[in-house]
Amino acid sequence: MANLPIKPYITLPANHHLIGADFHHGTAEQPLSNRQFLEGFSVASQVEIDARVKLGGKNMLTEALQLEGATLGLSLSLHCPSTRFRITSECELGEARQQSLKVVAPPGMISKEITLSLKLTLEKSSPKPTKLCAKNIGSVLWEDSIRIQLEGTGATFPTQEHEFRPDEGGENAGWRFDFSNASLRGHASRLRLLVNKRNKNFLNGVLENPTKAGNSEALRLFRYAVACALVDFCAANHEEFEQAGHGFKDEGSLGHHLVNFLKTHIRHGNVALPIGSYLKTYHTDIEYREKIRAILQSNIQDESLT
Amino acid sequence: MTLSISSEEVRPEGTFNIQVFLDLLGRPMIDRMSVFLRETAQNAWDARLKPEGDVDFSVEIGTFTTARSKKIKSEVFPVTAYAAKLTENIHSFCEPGKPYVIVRDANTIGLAGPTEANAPGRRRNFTSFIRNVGQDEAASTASGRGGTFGFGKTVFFRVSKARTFIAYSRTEDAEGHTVSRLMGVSLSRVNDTLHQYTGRHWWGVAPAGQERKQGFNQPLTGKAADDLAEAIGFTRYAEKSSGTSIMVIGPEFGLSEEQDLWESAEGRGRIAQLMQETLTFWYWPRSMGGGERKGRLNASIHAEGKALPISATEAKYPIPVFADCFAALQEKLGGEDPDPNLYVKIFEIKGRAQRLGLLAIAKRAYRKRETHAIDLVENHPLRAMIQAGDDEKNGAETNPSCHHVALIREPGQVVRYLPTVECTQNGMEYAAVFLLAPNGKDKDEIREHIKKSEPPSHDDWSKEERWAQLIVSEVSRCVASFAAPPSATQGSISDRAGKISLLLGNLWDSGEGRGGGDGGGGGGGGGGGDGEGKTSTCKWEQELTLHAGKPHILYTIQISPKIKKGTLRCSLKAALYGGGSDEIPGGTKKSFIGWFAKNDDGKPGKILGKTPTLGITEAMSGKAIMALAKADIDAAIAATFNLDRNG
Repeated sequence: MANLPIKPYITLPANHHLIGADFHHGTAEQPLSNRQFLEGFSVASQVEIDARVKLGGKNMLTEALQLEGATLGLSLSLHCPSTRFRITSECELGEARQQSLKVVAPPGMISKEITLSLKLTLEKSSPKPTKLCAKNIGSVLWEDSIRIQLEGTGATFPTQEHEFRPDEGGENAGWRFDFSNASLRGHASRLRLLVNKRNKNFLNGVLENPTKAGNSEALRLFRYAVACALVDFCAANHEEFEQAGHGFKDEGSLGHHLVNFLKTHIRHGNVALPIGSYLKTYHTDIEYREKIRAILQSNIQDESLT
Repeated sequence: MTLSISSEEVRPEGTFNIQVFLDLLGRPMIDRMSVFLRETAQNAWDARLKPEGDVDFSVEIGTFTTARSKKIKSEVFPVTAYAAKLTENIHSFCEPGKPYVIVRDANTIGLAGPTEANAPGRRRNFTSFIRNVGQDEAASTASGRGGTFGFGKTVFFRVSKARTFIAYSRTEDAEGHTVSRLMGVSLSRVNDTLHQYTGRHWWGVAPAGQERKQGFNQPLTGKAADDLAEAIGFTRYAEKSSGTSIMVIGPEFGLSEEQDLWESAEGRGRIAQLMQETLTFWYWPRSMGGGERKGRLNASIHAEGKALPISATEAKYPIPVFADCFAALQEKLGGEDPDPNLYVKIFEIKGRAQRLGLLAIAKRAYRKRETHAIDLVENHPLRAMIQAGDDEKNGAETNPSCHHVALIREPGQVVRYLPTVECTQNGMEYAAVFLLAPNGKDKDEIREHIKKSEPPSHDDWSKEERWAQLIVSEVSRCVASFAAPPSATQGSISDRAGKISLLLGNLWDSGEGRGGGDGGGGGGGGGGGDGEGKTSTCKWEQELTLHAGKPHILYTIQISPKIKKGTLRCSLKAALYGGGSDEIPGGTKKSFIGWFAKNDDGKPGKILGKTPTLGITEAMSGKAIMALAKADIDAAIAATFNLDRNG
């Protein structure tokens, strides 16, 4: 095992006898362990995680940490690296020998993998600090974390069913993007592809049989239209792309995903075009835009659907 | 020095058809490039000098320069009247600009022993490779391991349009003296007088006073062999090294539009890429040191001035997933805790109340594949795993899918990628590794049975063999329960938004299944220590302590007894929340207090140095050294200790 970084104050190891935790998933209370797969996950799934912390007693804990009289807290956080979604639940450590914390990831906010991290932290310093005890508020005194892989049609692309009103096209409309919450430096899940619940032909007919010859062409066209909408969005934000230079470094950010998308699809053979410059021209020159779309068609055509 | 030809004459009793020799490997299920690289790498590995040592293996693609062409035609394959057509044919593949392939190994035995098949000698690598047909049991028994060249050597003829190769070796002769040897071998009936010769020809040196046809020739030896080898394109072996290099004349691997590929630098580059991918597909476990982590095949491909390494971790997807599985098995066999960052599950495969081997499976979100060079090979055995195909039933394209088990036994070569059931969860795929590792009373018998169940090309385990049948059946059952768990099939995904999400996912996502961690992150240490590398990370322990009334961190570093000199360097960084690290204020120098000898009471003793760099002397070998650093920053401190053996 690699040596973990050591903190400049007394901490407890993950397997300390005075503190331990179990993680559970959902109402079925399925126990979770490190490197486990969460089966049947979907973009429409809401993920509820419950952490039950068993404690050896508050006084014993503060004594072991040389933090007599200090106030300690527990925090449970769920973090999804690929969408940068993070949610945390906190509580103050009481006298009870068992405490529970719960976090909920709403549908469409997480994908691929999540990290669950439970921390014991310093909420209020000890009135009689020792030379080796933690002194700063928020210092992590103990930590346990597990990683869970989401198995199934994970939220690889943030999609949501939505009932289109008449002024949005009514039942004949198929889909549209909701860019209202999207920002290039924010997490990708803030962008939404809304598919019309009321359009039965698209949802039930085409999607149920995606590999059927006619349907596969319809889906290919759908993918192309979605890709065009993404390029339009990128072009509308071309200044931010230019400022970002070589790309958005934060994995999981919308900008990071979109740079990935542009590099993969706007290219001649193996050579990707310079993003900043073509987005700017795409925005102002209708002829150039058509050329870029033709390149996009060519590269989308090369990809398989299923 | 000019070599001369010696041809095996047909005896009155008759002889065999040389086609039989070419067919000794049978009809492998895999492509010619795969067979060639598997057999040559296996030969190199079997011929290693030390049972636990590393072997260097390389394949070089080159083209003849005018000077080399002239040299090889005039001095290795000189025109001889009775074999004019044969020589003319070979010369046509040695013209300037024509390609050749050199397979080279080092840290191996070389073509050792006597040069005559009927002469006594403990090692018989030369005669096994150059003279005999089939496995030399005597050599195998005497040397205690392989390197004895069974049917595998026929691959050199199979991939040569000229049916000719040149062997150059630095080795030991029958008396144990170091010697360089060079000899050409042809297997061809392109000749004027077919009825007189069997088709086996050797290009070497006729013994003094002996006329051609009166006997046979010997390899060119000594400095003359080194000089001639170098002059025609081989790399000369260093003074104290040993090994074998084989030059294939007129290489041909049965690729699409192969002739065009060989004629351009770009095309040769693509063939080199294919070689790199192919060797990686089959030999990545040995590049990781095999199941026992002893001995690596350090392999590379060279062409057009570029070196392409064979690396399991840097290979194209999905090989790194197989490598993750194998790393987990290595840890399991070594009695270590598995790496908590790997999503790998390990199962013991049992049969008849004993362990037959270990199976590791890793499931991942589907990942889009990079471009591979395997489209140069028709019906490549791994196409389904790495390249899109056509679904004939629906007329639609299908994505490549990894749902294979790499079957591996001790030599560390993937025998076969066994296709099993596909993952029932949309958007997921898996890779699995089965390592033959029996541990019961019948373990040796099981190993032997499995080995014998393989065809000469070692690319399958026969279903006729009971242990092999049992293993394949148990592995398939275990994988099926993992890939299609009852909970998943009962609650299969039916939501429509999920299907769309999946359909659009690869527009912007490579689909990699391993994300970054949270919390503490960073950190260092662990690995190495005793390896052959020049720089390695040391193992150490750390504790928070009080020094001069202030918090400090005390590190204890164990110096391996194998280390007699070198330089130990300490690096201190601040661990960042969310992973990674950053420089600490003032750098390592400001926080580093010093190096100390460890006292018997476990506390720091005599001071050894005050800078973060310490020269290691023989007196420190096998002992523990302590380092003290200030803990005066708010962040956690991540330390690294690197040992440079050259320092």
